[in-house]
Amino acid sequence: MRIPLSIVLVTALVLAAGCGGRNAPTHLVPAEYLGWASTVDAPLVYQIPGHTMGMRKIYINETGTNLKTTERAGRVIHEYPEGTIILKENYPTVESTAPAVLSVMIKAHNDMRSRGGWIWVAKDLATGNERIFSDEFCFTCHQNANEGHPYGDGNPTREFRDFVYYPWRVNP
Amino acid sequence: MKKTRFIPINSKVNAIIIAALVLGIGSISFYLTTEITTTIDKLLADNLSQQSEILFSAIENFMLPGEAKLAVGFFETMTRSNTDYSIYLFRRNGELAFSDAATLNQVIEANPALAPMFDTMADRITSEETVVNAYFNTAVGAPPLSAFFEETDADGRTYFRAYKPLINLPKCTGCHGTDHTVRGVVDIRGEITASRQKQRLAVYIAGGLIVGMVAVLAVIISGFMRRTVIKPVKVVGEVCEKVTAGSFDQRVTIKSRDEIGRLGSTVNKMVEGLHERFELSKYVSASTINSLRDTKEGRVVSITMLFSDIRGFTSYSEQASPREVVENLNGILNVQTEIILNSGGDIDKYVGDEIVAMFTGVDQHVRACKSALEIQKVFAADGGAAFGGLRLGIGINTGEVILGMIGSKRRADFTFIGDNVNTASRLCDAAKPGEVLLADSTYSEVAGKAKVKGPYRLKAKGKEKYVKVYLLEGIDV
Repeated sequence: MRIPLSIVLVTALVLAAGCGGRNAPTHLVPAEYLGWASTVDAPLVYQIPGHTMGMRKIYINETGTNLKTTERAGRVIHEYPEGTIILKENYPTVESTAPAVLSVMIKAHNDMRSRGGWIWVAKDLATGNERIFSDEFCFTCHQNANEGHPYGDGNPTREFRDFVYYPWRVNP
Repeated sequence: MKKTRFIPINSKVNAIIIAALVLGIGSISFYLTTEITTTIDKLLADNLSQQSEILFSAIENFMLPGEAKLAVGFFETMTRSNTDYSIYLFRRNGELAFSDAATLNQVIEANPALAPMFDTMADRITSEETVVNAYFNTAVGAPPLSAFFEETDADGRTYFRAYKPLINLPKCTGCHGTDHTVRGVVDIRGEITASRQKQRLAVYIAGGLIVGMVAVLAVIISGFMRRTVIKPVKVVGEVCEKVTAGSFDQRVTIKSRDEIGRLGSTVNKMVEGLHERFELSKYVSASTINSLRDTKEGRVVSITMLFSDIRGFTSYSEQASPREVVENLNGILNVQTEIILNSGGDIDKYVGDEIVAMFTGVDQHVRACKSALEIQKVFAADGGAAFGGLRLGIGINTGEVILGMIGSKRRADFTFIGDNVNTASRLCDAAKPGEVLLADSTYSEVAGKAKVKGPYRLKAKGKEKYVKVYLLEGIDV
């Protein structure tokens, strides 16, 4: 029995598309971010668990600078708009001139991969591979940003800072 | 010719039924069983995962400064109160948490003010158990990820087990330092042995039911097929075999009112038709039947004709009773007919006490002569006593005749006509009792084989010239 060539080709294309979709690499982290604003006035050089024990620089895209601040039941609420990207460069050492890993928060409430309204992504700059953390690791740690914590100003009034330890300030 | 092995239809039907049942019911059951088992496993896993999430959230709160001892107490209570459930906290190096005072000392060193809170922890040092495996390494890896897996211990008990990393949160770094991401691993274990056994039992029962069902259905369907199809077909076959052997009194007795019943009825009609034709064939020569099969048009053929006539039959019939006449005549005709037919000849017709026969094909002359001599030999025995002393005269001639269906639309015979036929008849008339006269045309074909006397000149009725004839005495076959 002869199978029409068109059917074979269509089947092959469908299979190829299906396979390609399953194995398609993640590309969420933008390549151009150095022109963005920074949420800290200087690189962070102290040790924190979960990130490279060297130096960190934090950037925020323009969308994120339009965060909304309200007050509910006496508590200050900071909420970043959809599309906000907060990108943290992780340098291996204080002396390093180039980051090794980018840790990125992308505001996407409706994305199935998000936790706390953010997609948590790490990009290995050596390989270019991006990895989404949909389990508790990043999310659990960043929950502390919404209560008292040892970083930055320490959030002394327990504001809801939308999981961000160093919230956007016009003059950080 | 390639010899084929006979495979009974019963075997084929049984094989198809069993294969269909095994493949059909088996595959569906296998799929359902697998799906149900997988679903149960997933439900168990999801349930334990949710429980572990809840427990983990509770444990995180227990791990607030100074509350670690509450966590340990909680773990012990959970483990003791529920034999199917256990919770342990391991350090990131795989040692059981609180197995010694190392962590407490580290915390007290970082925060001396907390020292009074941990005075009572020393008596909880109870174990030196350690755990390090691939799943554990996943939980303490970079990044730390929850591990969820199934394991069976040496006693054959099966567990779902969750390793959930206890992250060194920023608020914890004050006491536990900042040089590590994972403080420990919460090990939550739920036993599923009973569930597994029930699943296994269910699979065994399902398998047994399938086997039983296949067997029962195979017996039922096979019996049904045997009764409704195979047995009637065998009956039809047996009837056909007997009909082939010449027994036409057999009939198919199938009472079902379906296709098989219709087949039986059709076969019975066919047998009746064959029987009628067979009976009719006794009254019709083989050449007639062949001609009906081939063509009804007349044609010229070369044949050898044998005419045999009883001498003195008229006077005999006047002296004997009609019953004796008919019986004796039939006996005489029957003996001749058998000899002629056995020699490959064909009876064209019976004309009173005369037989008109024909021989065609290879050795027709020899076979005709042989038949004639054999007939005379039978009738010469004991002076023809077996046949009331009656003797025969036989004439044989070879030549072209017109062969065809002769007669009216309502009644016709397939016979031969022509001058050569008349010659054969004249030779028969001229033959004395016990003699076989050959025409020259026949003799010329058997010369060298036949032992004859003659030639003689015969003045035949209706012939202007003398006919050259020979008296046949023997022939080498």
